[in-house]
Amino acid sequence: MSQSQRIATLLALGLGCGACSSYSMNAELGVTQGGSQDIRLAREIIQAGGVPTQDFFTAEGLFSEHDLPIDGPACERVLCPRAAASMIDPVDGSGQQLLIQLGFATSIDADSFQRRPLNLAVVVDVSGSMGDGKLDAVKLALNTMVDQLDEVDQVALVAFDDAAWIELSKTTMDGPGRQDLRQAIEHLRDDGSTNIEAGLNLGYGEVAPDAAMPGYEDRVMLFTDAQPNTGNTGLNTFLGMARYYSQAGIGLSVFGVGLDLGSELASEVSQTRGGNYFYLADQDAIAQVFDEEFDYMVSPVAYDLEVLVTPRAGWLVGDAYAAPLDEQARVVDFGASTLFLSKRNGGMGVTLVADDRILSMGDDPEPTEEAPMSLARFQLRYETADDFDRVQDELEVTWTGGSVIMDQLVNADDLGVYKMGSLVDEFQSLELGAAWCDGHASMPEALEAIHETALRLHAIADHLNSPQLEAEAVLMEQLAGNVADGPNNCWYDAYGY
Amino acid sequence: MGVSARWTARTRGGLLALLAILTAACETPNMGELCERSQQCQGGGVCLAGACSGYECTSDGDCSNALVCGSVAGIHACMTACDSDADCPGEQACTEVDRSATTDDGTAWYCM
Repeated sequence: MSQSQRIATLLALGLGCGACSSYSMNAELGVTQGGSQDIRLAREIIQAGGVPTQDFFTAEGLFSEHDLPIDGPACERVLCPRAAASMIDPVDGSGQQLLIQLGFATSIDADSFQRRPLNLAVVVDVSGSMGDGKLDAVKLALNTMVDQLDEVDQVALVAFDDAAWIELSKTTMDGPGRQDLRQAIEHLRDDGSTNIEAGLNLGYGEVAPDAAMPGYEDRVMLFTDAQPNTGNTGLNTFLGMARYYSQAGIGLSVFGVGLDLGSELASEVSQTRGGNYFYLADQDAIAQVFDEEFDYMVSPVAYDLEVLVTPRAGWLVGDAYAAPLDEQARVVDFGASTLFLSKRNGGMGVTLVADDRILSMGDDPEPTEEAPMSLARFQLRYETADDFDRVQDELEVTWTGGSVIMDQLVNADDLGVYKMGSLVDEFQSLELGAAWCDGHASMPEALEAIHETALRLHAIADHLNSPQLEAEAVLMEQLAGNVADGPNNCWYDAYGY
Repeated sequence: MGVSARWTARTRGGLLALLAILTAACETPNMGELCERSQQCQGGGVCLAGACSGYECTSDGDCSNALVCGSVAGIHACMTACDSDADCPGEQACTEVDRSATTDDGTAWYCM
């Protein structure tokens, strides 16, 4: 298959995304961490017969596509940390362990929420590679965005190929302003090569003069199909500008257009204050991001979340999902640079394993709802986005031994962590598929885990009557078939090579 | 104040404002100097909250106007060190910035 055929296949497959997000129907808003917001390209690669390698998926991307609620008392602050636990036996064979989900409730509700006015520069790649419908997709996204702007917002439009220029200098988005922006969007034409840095520099140059106006959200949005160079970090590089201006309160949203820019870039963006990353695969994704989620993706609620986890005596923190963690340790620190409002309840996960040197899993008394086991203490620090207050919070995490969810006793204390347990299996299956591609896992090892994950996902989908989890199960069955077909199916880059 | 005096005061105020705008529009401010648009700033600088900023450096010698070469999230740029907002040009605020993006290297206070 040629490179262009593979891209065309991906774009065509992207039109049907069975496992893409579904939302809770109430007016409650959730909170998710920044960084990657989906694993769309990994899904498309599997649907096209491939096996995605490590660069195509992240745990936070997978979790962000699902609603992972944690029950708790009414929240009367911008952020209320919540946690719940589940006993899991992951498909990677690491043995029984406790999974703790950390999530956040918020007092902000969807009915009364109004995003902050925007001081925004939209930076669009119009190089020759943006032909083949990609620039049209960006225009669709931007026109959808224009519908949601009003006279409190100020927006500039910057275009770049091998040079950068201002298509529309910063303009108030009243009626005539929106009309000017639509005309500027229509005027975009693809041609030339790509100089992301020139475009970003001009974009930041439009937002920066009015940065830190009280009440405004300062943000640059970059649309590109080119991989930004994240190796260099001088001030005039992609990462250099992102990091420098993030300290001045200017956030960056990166949109990969028809090309997932990969987990490395997503990881870099997620570690940048105010950063988030979206892959715009198709019209469904564009509609979802720019119609349903626009107000939330430009609404950080907290920065620099740092969580110090101290497990109960005799336990260690094993893995962390959707949060960086270096190694197993007695006390660990993880976190997120930015928390955004969302229609879904996101979450980070950490696992606790019994320290073999001290005890085995069965040595603790059986917990009950009346006598829950104290699992860990979470000490949290973060800065609120609206008034930059530095907040310290503490959370005692307990484990009651399970609960009844939809008439069935399960090994999880809440719905969100119950679902997260199956998503951890899915993430590990994706990792094992990638490890098999890289020669670090055998085919039988990978297939056993992926098949087991598919079975577990079918079971939980049946139990929760969840089409979204059923679609994940089907995805795992497809992945198993692709692995069984041999190593030629491994995708090492976005073009399938 | 009579009509004539009020007119004179208004005219003088208007002329001063016009002068300030023309000055800002015509001059090419250097790092740390006041600006209204990024295109005004010398050497590819960016007008950040009213002052020309975003100049890369490797040492203090690369910076002028009493700016120092500071690390902002691991990026070296000419910065105005500060103790309070009163030390900062334009609308910039004295901001506690991360010195490194990747390590716990503490913070510094700079105008941004």
